[in-house]
Amino acid sequence: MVGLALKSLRNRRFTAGLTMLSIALSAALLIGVERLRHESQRSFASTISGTDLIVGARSGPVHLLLSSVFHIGSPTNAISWDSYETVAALPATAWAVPISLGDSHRGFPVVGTTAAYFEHYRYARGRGLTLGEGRIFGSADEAVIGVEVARALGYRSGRSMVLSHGTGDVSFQRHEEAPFRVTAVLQPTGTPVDRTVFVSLEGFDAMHAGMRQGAAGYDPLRGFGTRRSGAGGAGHAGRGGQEKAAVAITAILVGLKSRAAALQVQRFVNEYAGEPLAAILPAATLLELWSVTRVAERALLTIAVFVVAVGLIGMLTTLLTKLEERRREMAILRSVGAGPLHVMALVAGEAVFLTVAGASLGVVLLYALLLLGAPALQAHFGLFVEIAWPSGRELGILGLVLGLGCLVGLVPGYRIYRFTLADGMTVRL
Amino acid sequence: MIVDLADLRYAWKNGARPLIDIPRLTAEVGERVLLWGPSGSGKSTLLGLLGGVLAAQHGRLRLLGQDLARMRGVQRDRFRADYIGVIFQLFNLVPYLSVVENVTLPCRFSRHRKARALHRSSSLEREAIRWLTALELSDREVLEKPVAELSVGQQQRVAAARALIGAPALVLADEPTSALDADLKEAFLGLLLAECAREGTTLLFVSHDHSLLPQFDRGVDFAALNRAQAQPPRDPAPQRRIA
Repeated sequence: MVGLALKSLRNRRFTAGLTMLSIALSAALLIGVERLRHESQRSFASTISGTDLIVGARSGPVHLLLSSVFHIGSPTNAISWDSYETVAALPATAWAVPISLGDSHRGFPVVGTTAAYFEHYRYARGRGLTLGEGRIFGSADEAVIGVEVARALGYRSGRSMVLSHGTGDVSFQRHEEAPFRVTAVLQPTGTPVDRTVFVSLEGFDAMHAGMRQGAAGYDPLRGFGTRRSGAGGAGHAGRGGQEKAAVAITAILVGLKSRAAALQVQRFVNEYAGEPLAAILPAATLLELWSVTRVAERALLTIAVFVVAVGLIGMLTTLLTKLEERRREMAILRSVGAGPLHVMALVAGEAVFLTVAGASLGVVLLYALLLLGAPALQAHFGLFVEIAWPSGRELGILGLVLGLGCLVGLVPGYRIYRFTLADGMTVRL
Repeated sequence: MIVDLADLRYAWKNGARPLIDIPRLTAEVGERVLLWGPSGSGKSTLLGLLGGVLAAQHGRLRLLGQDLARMRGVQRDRFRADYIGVIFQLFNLVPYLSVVENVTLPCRFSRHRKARALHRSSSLEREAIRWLTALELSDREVLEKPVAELSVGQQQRVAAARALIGAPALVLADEPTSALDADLKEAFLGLLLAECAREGTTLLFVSHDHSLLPQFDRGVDFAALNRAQAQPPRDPAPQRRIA
């Protein structure tokens, strides 16, 4: 019976192939939408594992989260070093890492931070950063780069690079006089870290100073034009513990001794009198973000479901239009001993076969697409798609598609069953 | 007795006017019987009953000593697969199967016929070719053609080989010659009758063509046999459409 069904399908391989392809594409779309939804959430959540609070200037929580951790959108306003010291000195604080944002190097974001970042940053359930080779930046003209930066630009340890101001790919000003030297390349993490250039806060600020100098022609040694009060030399000349007070930072990543203190610390920061600050809980903010994106996800998923329905209806149409032609074939099969249920199974089995083969092909297509498209997704959207086995939910979706395919197969199956009962062996079409 | 039916009545559904009402019809082992009658006299319906595709509401329908009227649908299908070969008027072949695959088709549905075919030849394919050769259709070129490209005469001989493979006790033929011209008709009928005689197969051959009668062991006037068919009932659907 199976042999017969396959031979019959091979005889109609063109339409069968097209039907299979349409089911494959629709299944790939449906599972792809689900996969991207899941992967984007997983990727976002794994990026900020271990950080209990993010402190920054007041803006929307989602904005602060996206800009500080994912380098998406414009950075929030600067906050003062005093605020950092206050937060770091709180009894509940285990660690606090300052970060400065807003610059880029050939399209890759530049982050100014301290060595503590490499110690405390955690991704993917508590994994820390590891240096592939070299060491963390020691002075203001050294940089640590993510693996993607190294790969895309061909940088290795020891190589010099010139950082420019602004977050875009194209910068009009390049600070040729103050090149940075790469001291280390980080191991791959599958997070935005891979696409980031890390420099010290002093180095970050030196870029700014250089830019100001280049743009306005001021003498950097006079420290004229720096926004902050305090020590004068914000440029190349003045560096040291004292001078840090002059450094602008954008956000503070905070780890707490106990998560239970999170709300308390958050309230303290939000009510901080020194300057307007906001503290966010990354996990809670992510949930807020998902609630925003859920509408779009639902819309996409609905469209994908309809595309699957169209694919299955396409199959139903093809099977039904061929049915009249096949009555004669079925009469022959009946004459050699096939029962009405045999005949029904033959026709319904075709639908099952087409759905199974189509859905399998769809999964293969999807994985091929993911393999091919993952670098592009990573480069353009910072989305790291893990090539993993189908999740339970995806298998559930596949199962649903298969189930629907079988149900659809029952329609022509039942019709041919009725036909064979009526025709017997005497079809004369 | 291979065929033994008595007081057999069949209607499209219970309570409707019967299409078949036959007091008695028999056929002995190896007997080749021509059932002749005009079209619409219920000949094909009788073949459906004999083939176990239709179920009679009343009477006795014994084939090889077993009562088909008492069997359930699945059992009748199994019985047909094992003991009955069928040749249609036209379109006998499954288009996506090769000539040899068409001939061996019954062996896919009946272990019994497969075993008997393998009893004679070492493989089903050889047995198929043996039958095709017996029916004068052994040309390699013909065997390798897609079945749709065979002439009608060739197709009918492939159908005969399929009906005879695995030595069924009974072959039912539904006007298999009416699409053939006179020469081919003679040749086909001659081959079919000879092979049935050699195998001892009982043949019930239905035709509107009375002139074939001399070549058979016996003929039955179907119009006279079937009491239900004074006038063939009309299909009500087209009438409604006209109105």
